[in-house]
Amino acid sequence: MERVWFLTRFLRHGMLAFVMPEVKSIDLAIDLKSLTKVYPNGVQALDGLSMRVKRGEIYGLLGPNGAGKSTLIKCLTGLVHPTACRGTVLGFPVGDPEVNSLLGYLPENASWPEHHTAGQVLDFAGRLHGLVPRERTRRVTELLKLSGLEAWRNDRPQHFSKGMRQRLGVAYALMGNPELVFLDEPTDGVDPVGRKEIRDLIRDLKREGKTVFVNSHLLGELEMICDRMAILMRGRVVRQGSLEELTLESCRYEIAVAGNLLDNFGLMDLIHRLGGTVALTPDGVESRIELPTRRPQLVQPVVDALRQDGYLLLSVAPARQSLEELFMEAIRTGGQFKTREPGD
Amino acid sequence: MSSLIAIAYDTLTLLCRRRLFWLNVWLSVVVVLVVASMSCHGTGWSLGFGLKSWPSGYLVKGSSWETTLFFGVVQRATQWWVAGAAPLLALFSMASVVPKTLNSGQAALLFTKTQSRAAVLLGRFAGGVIFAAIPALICVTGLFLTLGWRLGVWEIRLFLALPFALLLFSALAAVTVMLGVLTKSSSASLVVALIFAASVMALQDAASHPAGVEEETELKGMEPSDPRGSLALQIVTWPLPRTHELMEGMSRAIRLSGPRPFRDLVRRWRIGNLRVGAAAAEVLDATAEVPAPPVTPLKLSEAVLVTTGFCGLALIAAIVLLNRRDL
Repeated sequence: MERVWFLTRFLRHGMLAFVMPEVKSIDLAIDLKSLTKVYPNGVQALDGLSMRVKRGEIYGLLGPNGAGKSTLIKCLTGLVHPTACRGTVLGFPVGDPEVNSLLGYLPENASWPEHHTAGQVLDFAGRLHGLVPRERTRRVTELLKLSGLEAWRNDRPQHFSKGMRQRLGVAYALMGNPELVFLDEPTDGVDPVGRKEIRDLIRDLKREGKTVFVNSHLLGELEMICDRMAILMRGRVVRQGSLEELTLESCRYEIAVAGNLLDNFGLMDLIHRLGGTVALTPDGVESRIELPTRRPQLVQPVVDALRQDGYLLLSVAPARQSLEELFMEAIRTGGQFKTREPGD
Repeated sequence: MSSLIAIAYDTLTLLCRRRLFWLNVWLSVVVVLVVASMSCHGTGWSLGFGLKSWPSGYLVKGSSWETTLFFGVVQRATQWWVAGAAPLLALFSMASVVPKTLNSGQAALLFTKTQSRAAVLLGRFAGGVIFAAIPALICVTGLFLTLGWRLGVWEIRLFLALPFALLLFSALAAVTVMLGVLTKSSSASLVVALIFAASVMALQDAASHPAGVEEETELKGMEPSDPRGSLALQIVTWPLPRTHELMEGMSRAIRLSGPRPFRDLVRRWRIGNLRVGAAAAEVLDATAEVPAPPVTPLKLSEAVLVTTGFCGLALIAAIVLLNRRDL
């Protein structure tokens, strides 16, 4: 029976690889070249979206409400049919139901069946994956332990707190030992201890070689765990890359100086020529200089001038945008990022 | 296949937890108890295990009327409860299953764990049919044991009522499933399914009694009905579930005909000096329709095939609709 299954799968995907070259991209968990979704009411949720998620990485998805994040995940999990799509998920064409056995998904608003206890919910997921009873029992116990719900095995999820329901959702998503896990707002409503546990769990999944796709509004959470991330705006990926890559253009040097620099016209002229800005602290005793460069050589003339004029240097440090600042800039500019390094 | 079985089992457990299920089971038990509580003795017959007794000169222990009484009552209990009211109650429970499954919070959990949307729908349908079978099985088993206990007749053919009842239920359940996918509303799918069932019965009744229709119009001094209209009606109703023929076929399959007609027993029923049975029989005679032609085995096979085909088509339509839908 297994041989027949293997043969049909080989024939099918062998043929697909022949007619669709993107099927060959096996090092990518998600490879989207152009994904468009227009709902019947005319709303364009995704507009030719492109995205590449490597196998084994934690990938974060950011975007304001209505950016198309949930639609994207639903397209990738086969719940929503794309209007047009070129791309693959784990080597299968997007929307191919066969990939479902390799996916885990925690939806944002999971509605748990009223007739199941936590243990039964996971057991049902095991049945859907076709696990044999012994394997199912082992996996249910393992996942309940992992999600910290062992003591609530025989309780119904309706009586759980939001955080417990989220943890049950993560356990449900992991039931079939999936290769790619989609987590939609996994830490929503979870207390700080629970959040850390979920973060650790996500890191463990990465260590096991699984790909984790996280959609979250909690930028700090994503900053802590994601290898790479994308910012989605109006159905398009406006930025994609690691946090380092995304904030590279925002690299700058910050110099803190005792005293007011605004009256020193020579120094102000030099700073402005380098594209920098000066701001005085509210108490007026300290000035902060921002130089838009990641090269220390370009900072030296300013430091030399400050010393020459007898200013006391409090600190000189490289700085870069936080993910939150980057995200807010994306929202402010509608995804149109500007280059910030005239000095480079 | 494993996911289909898992979903069918899940549906069954979901439905069995509802109050309406227990109402259905208890009413089935009550029907059996009422029938089982009837008995004939040397001077008449009693109800409620001897609580209320009526003297009778003919309905006594060992008489042919006793067999007529039990066969007649069991036959009607099978027709009205097993193939009528019990599946209808089951349908009330089942109507909400598909719309709830398509609710985005549940759909996301379920459809991402299965490789086929059809498996989810067929699993829900199969679970619903098994669910409807439980009270029907309880009732038929109870009636079977009652006949054996009271008359010493172990009529195994009584169980033939189950496939007929379930086939009728399946047709209606398939329509409910299809409407559930289409409307995502429990009440809308239930109401439309019930209107559909009533319309099918009325249309088929009209199509199977063309002679009766003409007789009525002649009585009112009107023109006889157009034979082309009658033909059109038969063509329209042909692909619909054959409720009338299946009910008739079920009655024939279980073969519970007593030594005397049950109608004669009813006609003899009196309360004191009041001939209640006779009066009831006269009212029934006056309002009776012209009997439909008897159901031949060929006609019955056609009815089974057409109803099964209708059920299959409704499910295929539901699957096609679901596969095109965004969840």
